[in-house]
Amino acid sequence: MMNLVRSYPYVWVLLVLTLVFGLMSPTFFEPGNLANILKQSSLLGFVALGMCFVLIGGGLDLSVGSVVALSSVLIAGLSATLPPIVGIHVALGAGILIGIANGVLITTFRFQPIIVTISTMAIVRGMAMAYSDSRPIFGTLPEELFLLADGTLLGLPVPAILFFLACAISVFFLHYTALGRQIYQVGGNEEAARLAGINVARVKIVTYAISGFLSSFAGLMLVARMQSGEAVRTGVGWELDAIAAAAIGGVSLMGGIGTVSGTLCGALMIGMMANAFNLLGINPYWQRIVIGIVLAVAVASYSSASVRQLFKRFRFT
Amino acid sequence: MFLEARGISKFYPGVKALKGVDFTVDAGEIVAVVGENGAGKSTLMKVLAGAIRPNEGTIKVDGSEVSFSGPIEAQSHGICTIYQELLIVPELSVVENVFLGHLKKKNGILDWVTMRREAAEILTRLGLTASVDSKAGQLSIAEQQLIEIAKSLSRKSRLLIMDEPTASLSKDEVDNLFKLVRSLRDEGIAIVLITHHLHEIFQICDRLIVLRDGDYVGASTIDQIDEAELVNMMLGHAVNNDTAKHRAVVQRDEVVLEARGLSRRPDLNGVDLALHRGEVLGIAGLMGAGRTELVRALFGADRLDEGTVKVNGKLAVLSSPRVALEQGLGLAPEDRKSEGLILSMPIGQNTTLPSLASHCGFFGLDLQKESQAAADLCKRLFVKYSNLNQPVGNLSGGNQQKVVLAKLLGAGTEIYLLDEPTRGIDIGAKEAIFDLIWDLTSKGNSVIIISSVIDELIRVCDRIICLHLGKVTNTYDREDFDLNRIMLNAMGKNVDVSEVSQ
Repeated sequence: MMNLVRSYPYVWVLLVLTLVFGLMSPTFFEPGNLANILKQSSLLGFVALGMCFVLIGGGLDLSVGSVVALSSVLIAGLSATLPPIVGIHVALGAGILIGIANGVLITTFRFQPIIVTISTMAIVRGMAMAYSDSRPIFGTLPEELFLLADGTLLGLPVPAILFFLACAISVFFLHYTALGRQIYQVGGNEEAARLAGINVARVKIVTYAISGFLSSFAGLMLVARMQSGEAVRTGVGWELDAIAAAAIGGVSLMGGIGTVSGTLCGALMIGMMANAFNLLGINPYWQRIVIGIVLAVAVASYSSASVRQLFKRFRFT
Repeated sequence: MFLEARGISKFYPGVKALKGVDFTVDAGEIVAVVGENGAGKSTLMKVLAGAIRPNEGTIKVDGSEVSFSGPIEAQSHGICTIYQELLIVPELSVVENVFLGHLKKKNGILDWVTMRREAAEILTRLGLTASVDSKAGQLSIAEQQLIEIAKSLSRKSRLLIMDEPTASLSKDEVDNLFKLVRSLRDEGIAIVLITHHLHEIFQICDRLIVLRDGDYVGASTIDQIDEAELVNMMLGHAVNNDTAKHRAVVQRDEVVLEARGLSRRPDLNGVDLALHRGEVLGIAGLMGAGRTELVRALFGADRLDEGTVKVNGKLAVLSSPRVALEQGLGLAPEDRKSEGLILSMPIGQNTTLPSLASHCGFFGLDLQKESQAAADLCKRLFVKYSNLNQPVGNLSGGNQQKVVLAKLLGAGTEIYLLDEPTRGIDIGAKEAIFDLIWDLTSKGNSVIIISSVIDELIRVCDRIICLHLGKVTNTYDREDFDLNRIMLNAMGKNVDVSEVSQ
């Protein structure tokens, strides 16, 4: 048990947070509320999961929030004239393409990931606003789509089930496929990976494509919940929340280190804080402050270990 | 005497880098510090520059004892160091670089007028024609080096320590530098020079001291010593030739790797080589001779300007490491930490790095099979570890190197390119690596090995080629191995047998 705590500190923090919030608010542990937390967190969770891939591969993707927005307006807008399934495919395809574009720009031209994805962040947001004329789009969406957001299966909300499923697939991908392993290798030491015969560019492009896909999937979930698409406010700041969730879960921003389970816990923590602060009637700006503090503490606790290790490594050389 | 160091010792856990070394240098003389890699030259220079503190010994400047808390304090005594890796900020202008760290102020604001004037004065003195406003990064390496010297002079330096200043300069640039160094000496500045190029020592220095394994071996004025004596002092021991028993004479009937006219300017200038099946081919040469560039080019890690490579008699376009791996080549890179290993990942996953695809089953990776394969490979190389899942960065240098070799073994390599495989590892691990090399070649594999320690090459190789300035200067077969000649060849000297045979 102690070992478990030591190797998965974020699980421990998540449990403590749950307990604290539960004690503070009597309604926190009600099944409806817990389901609500899962529903809320899974939206950010998809984006954070994509970010987790990119970060492990040694990159950074700031365009995710804009991709969520573009996806939401595309699905809502295209459903006016075309069958909804077409809009969904177009939106998911667009997410993947944006990810590939990010990856190609970063690998072939050796641009900094932060610069490339800031650019695509602006471009994609602009495209979404142009497409929607900056107004919310109320599409003609089928009933089944709303089930995606509000339905339950075996007592669990459908979005949460989908998110857990995505996590399970990601775990399999990262640990049981060569390509998944290569993401860690490229992020851990790009030159060593190249010399070991790995196609570094391909691996990196794949991580951005996954991030783009999962972000546009989050857009789909958002449309299902809101029953509309909107380009101006949707997904603003999500890139930072996603990075925060991954970092709280122990994903290294230097690449090569990170787990899906950590990212899952990080996303749950952020969702849970939003929910608990709401229940406790605490002003939302406190929520931002606390997320900031939690992030700083988490990253400091991880990096103090790596600082120690670095020190150890260089002391005798 | 400007600077006088007595009985300097520096200990690291398990290593005595310096053992009671004496060193003096006076104004207006050029002193060389000579020794093989690992002899303690750099440690001594770092002690004098205040970058590290000695465990024992005293340093006197102008007759009074000093104890440097850091490089800044050493600089305040007029001791400046120019490291091999130049500390130039490429984005800043020349004048900003010259006054980096000691910008001049007048009334609290920066006095660019004075700084520009002084920088221009110093640069004229050094013969640098570039404008003080041009960006340092746009200048050539030689010009950047002059900026480093200008930096020291602007601090009123009285002792200039230069670590391998000629390593990346052309011949004309070296001549210019030496002219300048002589004029600085004549102006009364003391100069300490570290160099691998013996002829440079005889060209420019007044005096030299020799270090070996951290020991002070001796000192001499330049006119009382010749190159052969100096080499003897540096090496200091007879070579043991107990290696012949390890192997039979290699049959040179099948060329597995053949290179013609490999060029990657300025590092490689038309290198030809042939490697036979079952052969160990050594590459001797100084740092910067093109050794690393040669094996990296063979492995497809860097692009070639010209040249062809044949693998097993067939023309091969080695456009990337992946292609080279498929052809059966494997590289153990020079810097195992930055190029050979992924330090954040476990031992097991590092071991199977290039061979991962072979552990893929229908349902993805077969982790059990993979870790079994990793365990087998590590066992074959006697890697000492407690758990395959511990990060590879926790292993000792020797064991890390073994993991790098295990990696190649697992990838089904037939032609091994080993770049300094013995650097920084202990004797036991070294022997294990030599044993592995002999074992591999007896099974029909071939090895190219680079080492700065010629003794090691003589022990392990069937044939040695000497590389200097990107060209092969000589080739020796096993029966002709001669330490001194190989060493002089590697330093760019062509010698008669009679000259050094005594």
